[in-house]
Amino acid sequence: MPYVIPEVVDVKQRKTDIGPPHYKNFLPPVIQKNYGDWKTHEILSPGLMVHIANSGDKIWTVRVASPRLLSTDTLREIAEIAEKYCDGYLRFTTRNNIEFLVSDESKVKPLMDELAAKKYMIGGIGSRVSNIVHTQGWIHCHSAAVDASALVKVIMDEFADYFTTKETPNKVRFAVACCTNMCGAVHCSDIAYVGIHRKLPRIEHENFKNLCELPTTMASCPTAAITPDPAKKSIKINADKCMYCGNCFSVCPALPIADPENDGVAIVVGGKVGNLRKPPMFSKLAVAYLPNNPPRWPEVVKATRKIFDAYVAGAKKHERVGEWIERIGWEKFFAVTGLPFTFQHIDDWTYAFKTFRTTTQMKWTK
Amino acid sequence: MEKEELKKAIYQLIEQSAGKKKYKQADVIKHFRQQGIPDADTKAAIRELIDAGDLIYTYFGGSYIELGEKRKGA
Amino acid sequence: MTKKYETPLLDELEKGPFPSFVTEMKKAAAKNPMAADELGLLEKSFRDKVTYWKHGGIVGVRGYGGGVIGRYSQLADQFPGVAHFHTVRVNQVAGLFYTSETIKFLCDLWDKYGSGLTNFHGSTGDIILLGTVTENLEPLATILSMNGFDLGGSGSAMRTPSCCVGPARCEWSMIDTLDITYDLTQEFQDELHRPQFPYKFKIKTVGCPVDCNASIARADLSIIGTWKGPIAIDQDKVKDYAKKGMNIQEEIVNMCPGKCITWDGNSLNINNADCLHCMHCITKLAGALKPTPPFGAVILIGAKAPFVIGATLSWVIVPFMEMKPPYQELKDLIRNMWDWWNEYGKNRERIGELIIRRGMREFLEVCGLEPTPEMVREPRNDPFWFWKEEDLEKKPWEEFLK
Repeated sequence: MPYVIPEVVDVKQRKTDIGPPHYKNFLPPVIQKNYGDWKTHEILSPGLMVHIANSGDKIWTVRVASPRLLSTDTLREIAEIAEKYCDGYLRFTTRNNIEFLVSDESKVKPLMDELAAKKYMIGGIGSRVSNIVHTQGWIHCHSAAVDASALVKVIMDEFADYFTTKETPNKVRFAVACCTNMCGAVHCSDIAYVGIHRKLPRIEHENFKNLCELPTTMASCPTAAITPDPAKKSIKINADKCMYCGNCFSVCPALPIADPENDGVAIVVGGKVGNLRKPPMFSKLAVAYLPNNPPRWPEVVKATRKIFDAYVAGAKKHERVGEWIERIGWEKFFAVTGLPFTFQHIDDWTYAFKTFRTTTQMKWTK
Repeated sequence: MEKEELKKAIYQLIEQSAGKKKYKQADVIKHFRQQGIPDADTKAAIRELIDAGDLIYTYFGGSYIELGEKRKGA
Repeated sequence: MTKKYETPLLDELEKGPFPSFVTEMKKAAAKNPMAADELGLLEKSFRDKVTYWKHGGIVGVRGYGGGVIGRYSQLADQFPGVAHFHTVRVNQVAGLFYTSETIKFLCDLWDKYGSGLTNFHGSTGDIILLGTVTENLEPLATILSMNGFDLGGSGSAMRTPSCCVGPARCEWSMIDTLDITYDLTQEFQDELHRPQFPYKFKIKTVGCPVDCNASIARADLSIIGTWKGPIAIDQDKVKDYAKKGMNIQEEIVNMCPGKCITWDGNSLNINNADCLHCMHCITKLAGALKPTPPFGAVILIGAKAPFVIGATLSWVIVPFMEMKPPYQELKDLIRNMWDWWNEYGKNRERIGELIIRRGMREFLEVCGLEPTPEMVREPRNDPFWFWKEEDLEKKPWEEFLK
């Protein structure tokens, strides 16, 4: 399909509601031929797998990491590599990896050699660390309490060998959300980071009148901490109820909550989305707060290392982080990781009672 | 109600409520339903007003329908 | 020449083995003044530990209410290149497949009309073109449409549907995730481009319970492939796994949540009646085990991030639905639930929140669905429930005690 970018654009020519192009136009011939008729696959190395069709046809996939934020220069380079070895066919994964789709086995090794020479990070397939899903952070978001790309970078640097070579008991899926909106849906990841605030929004009474709607602002609060302030034609915030989620700021710019000194990162662990063995699980709080310490957030990296190493040492083969913790118990999790258990770890929101321990069953860790 | 008449009525509703109440598309449809206008007619009239740029969809934590001139000021 | 900023903090993020987003920004900044100012602004955020973006503004293309996210910097005076820095969401190809030609086209387009910075892809699945000015939006959308592309969703609309790699390259996909995604996207173009709902509505389709697109955690409507037939076993291949060192008892039998597998060192046996269809044994014994038809999908509803009532995972509303084109049963179901949500949903209320507020019974009745045990983990454990007049007239015990 030849693409055109005219010099002069007549915007009246715009067609609406055409939707995306049909995916069949983008599938390599071997996939078109064997669509829905695959027999099995083998992971040949951490960044290489082969899928075998019932017809005997094969397709090789070489996976490399990307930072998700890509310049057109790099995209063109990727496109050219795909042209050289894959007849131009490539895809991305939902975790922001790039996959080169090779139909000719003899091109697999030269492709991997060129990728290695160009310093692409090859790996991420199988029981290991894959790339990190994340949000925009300070790069492009008004409500980010922390940067996202930087956390991805420092965590992936730290655990790079678990992407390229080493194995973990099962997949370890990291995620980063730069505020509690959680656009990255970090609530079901093995280890995830969420940007948090720790102080009340500041009410700009003058702006409230002009910029915000009272009912919407009140409804946005999960704890009903917002009440009208008729005298000021603004609102009041009950400091005892506010838990600094920032949802009011999402609907009302007159309630800024960003705070360089008090914002930071929480770490949640033990979530998963797959149905294998145990049903999907939410992530739970492991570390309530670590400071924003750009550019490389060393405290976050060190705390993650404690969790990660304890998991690798303690989990049985095929156990995800959440399954490992469930088996050993949370008291043991805090003991083996050395992370402190604090008031913040005990739920005090709507469904708190569901998390209290209503049994005498427990393990002694001290 | 004739379509052009309905379009005028929708525009006036949005114009008169500007700065006071923000309407979502479903709110507009429900408003005219009370006057006996079928939902599909209101929806089609909104579509024409939007396509012409007289009204626009805006977003502020949720999507609303507002006057087209707002976009020019943004 | 673009403006050059000193970026000592960001430079630290060019070190280490993982590909650096800072390097990407620098590449774009070398030839694009918008990207250069974006880099300078980000360095300032790193220095001051705070974001410098304002709330979104009112921008878009004629006729649509979504696909463009207005974005303005708080520091437009210092960094004029990011005074306007809007995001354009382009509806991705189902399964995230591309050709090099397509990638190059998008690059040429974006170098001409934007910052040269992209995301492949955003969390919802769209191609994200990061940073352009208002006057470029109409030409961009026009050229995209001339070349077969359209904008994605944003705001209180159906968001761009997405899926796993599916039958294109996975032996476990029991439904055609790409076709379902493409078909639903085309069917609901109006709902995608013109925000007419109380809030966002996400649809994610995955081929099996492994859920490689996090459908159950991230979609208001989760469509997850599953099977009803027995698991087919190739005993020789199972033995190969054992020979190669897999401890079948420990890794397969003991980890089966249905406790329905036995292994005598020679042959693997599955009591399919007790199988929970979790995929553990099938994925660990790739090539040796496989699901068999009938194939279909579990339909689940309601997943979302924490605001406002707490994070939810999707819950079952249809235990098994056949998924054959044109997917009419599914489309009817979706339209029914949308009508109900539009009627009763409050501003910013997701459909799952509305179901919790008004009750599953009303939702199921609206959708024409009968209650079944597969919808719950367990029946209620409180003694408070509703009776309708029509319930009082029924005497079901005369049937079930016969």
